[in-house]
Amino acid sequence: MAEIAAPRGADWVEPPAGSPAVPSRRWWLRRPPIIPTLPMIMIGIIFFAAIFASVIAPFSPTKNHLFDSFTAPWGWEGGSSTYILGTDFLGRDIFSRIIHGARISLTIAGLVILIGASVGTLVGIVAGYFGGLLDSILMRIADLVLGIPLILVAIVLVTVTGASVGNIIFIVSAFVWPRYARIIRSETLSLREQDFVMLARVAGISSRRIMLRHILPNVVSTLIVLCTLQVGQVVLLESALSFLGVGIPPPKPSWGIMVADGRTNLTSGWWISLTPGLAIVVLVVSFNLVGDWLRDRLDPRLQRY
Amino acid sequence: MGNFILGRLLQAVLTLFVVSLFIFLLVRLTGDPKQVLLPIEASIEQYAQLEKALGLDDPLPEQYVRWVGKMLVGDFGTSSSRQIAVSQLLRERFPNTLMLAGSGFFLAIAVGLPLGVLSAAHRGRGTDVSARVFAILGQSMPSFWLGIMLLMLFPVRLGVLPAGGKSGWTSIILPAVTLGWFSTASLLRLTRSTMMETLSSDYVKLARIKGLSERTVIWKHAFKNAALPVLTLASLLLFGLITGTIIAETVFAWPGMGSLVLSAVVNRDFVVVQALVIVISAMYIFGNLTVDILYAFLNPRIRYG
Repeated sequence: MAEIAAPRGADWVEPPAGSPAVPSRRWWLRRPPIIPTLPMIMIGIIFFAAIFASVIAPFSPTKNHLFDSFTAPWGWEGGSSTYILGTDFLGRDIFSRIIHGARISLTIAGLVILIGASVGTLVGIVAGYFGGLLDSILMRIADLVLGIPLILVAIVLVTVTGASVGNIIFIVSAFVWPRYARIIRSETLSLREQDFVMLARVAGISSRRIMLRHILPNVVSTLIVLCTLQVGQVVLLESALSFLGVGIPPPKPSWGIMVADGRTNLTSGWWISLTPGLAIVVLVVSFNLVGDWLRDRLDPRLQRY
Repeated sequence: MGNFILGRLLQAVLTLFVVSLFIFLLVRLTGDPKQVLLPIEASIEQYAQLEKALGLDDPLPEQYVRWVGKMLVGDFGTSSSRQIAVSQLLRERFPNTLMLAGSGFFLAIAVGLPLGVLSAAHRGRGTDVSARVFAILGQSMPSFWLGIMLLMLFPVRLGVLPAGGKSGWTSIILPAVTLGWFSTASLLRLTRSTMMETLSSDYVKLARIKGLSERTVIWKHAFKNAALPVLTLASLLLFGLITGTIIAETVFAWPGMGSLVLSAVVNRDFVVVQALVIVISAMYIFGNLTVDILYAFLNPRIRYG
């Protein structure tokens, strides 16, 4: 990500003191900045764990070891090195469940953002480019969706149809797309008035081609920033829904469910909710920090989001 | 202004209509509504009774109008798991939720605003760094996990503060912190960024040149102008508070509407679920409306946007 050059347009904002705007020579002698290096390393580790979950995890995430239930983490009284982070009330290895949980969280976040960003970008570009009645209708729909408290819709949907991965992806994507649509629309509105789009139109290029070849490439940096900032929010929303029992169906190792498991056993196993919650915090902090950093570099006008 | 309010009011009503239609159709189109609305152990008489009460043989629009009409006069049906009128449950639970949400909101204003101002005024120094760490944590910690950690630390380990329920004024502290931290963090970050913008503006420079004390410059001149954009966050705060009360109430067994929804989901008491979802959605939608109107009132540019 670091190679992407910041655009130095009229809206170029001087980076805050401390962040190197011009790479000096002998860069290998400079200490890399803590942000975004550290969060990027954390994200790398989490991705690595998610991809190679079945190789790294010492146990199956759903296998019960009932004789070893409530084993404390390694180093604490009653802990053993077999289960580094301890076991839960069914004797399932928490370390293995966290690693497999990373896979689930990232897969869901990835799919949700893919769907939300695609639908939102399409709607935003079409609405902004054509304007008029179509624009009004599409934006009213986006506003309407933003006005619905989606956690409640999730609760109703799950009570009626039961918890499933499909349901949670649907619900969270529905929550995500209007944000993309609004921001991409306002970007498109200003791009539409620029000379290169005007000239393309004069040259007789079809609207579809203008949107695809001339407008889309110009909103990519905004999209990158938005997607990065959304990962944390989506992970938080998904884990909250799973915690409430209306997200991912157990026994799948979702971080939200693992925290919920620990809630009923607070006195006998403090470690059960501690580490899965920390995993969420580390993932969300890392993505938020990288997102903020990217925003400052690529799109400082996005401040408010 | 009249047109603006009318337009926003129409949109709020439309949003509520879509939510209610979604719930209505979900129950009737995904299978037998009797099975959804009645508990598994319901008798044949109860089935017959419900069929008559809902008029399930009538055309769908007629059923919908009847359902909405009943809710408008305050008839939300009877809870199948508690055997009392849902309207009575609402009367008991509503003040508690309002109290909790109010405390969370108060916390966000009382801590987020001043910390945001101080953070901007002391940019780069200790206050600023710790305020930003506090904010980043607040935005990245899942509130359900924070609640459980507070529960483990205070009532379980240290033996102070009640672990749950509503008893005396101390019992609201932990749920309010769980609920309010996220909103406090968002408010802090936004106040900080708008304050920094204002502090570098010309009229603030002039106020400093005039020799006014730093305190007068920051609080009297800069803060007043930075406060307006902060209002845009109010609708986001509202969303966080609505979602947050459901979670905080569940974690701390706070007797409000959020914990009632969740226990109704577990008991498959759909009459209660649908009534509460409608009521909470209405609160959220009309809260949003109020914020929008207030904002337009304070900032004339919006009205003609």
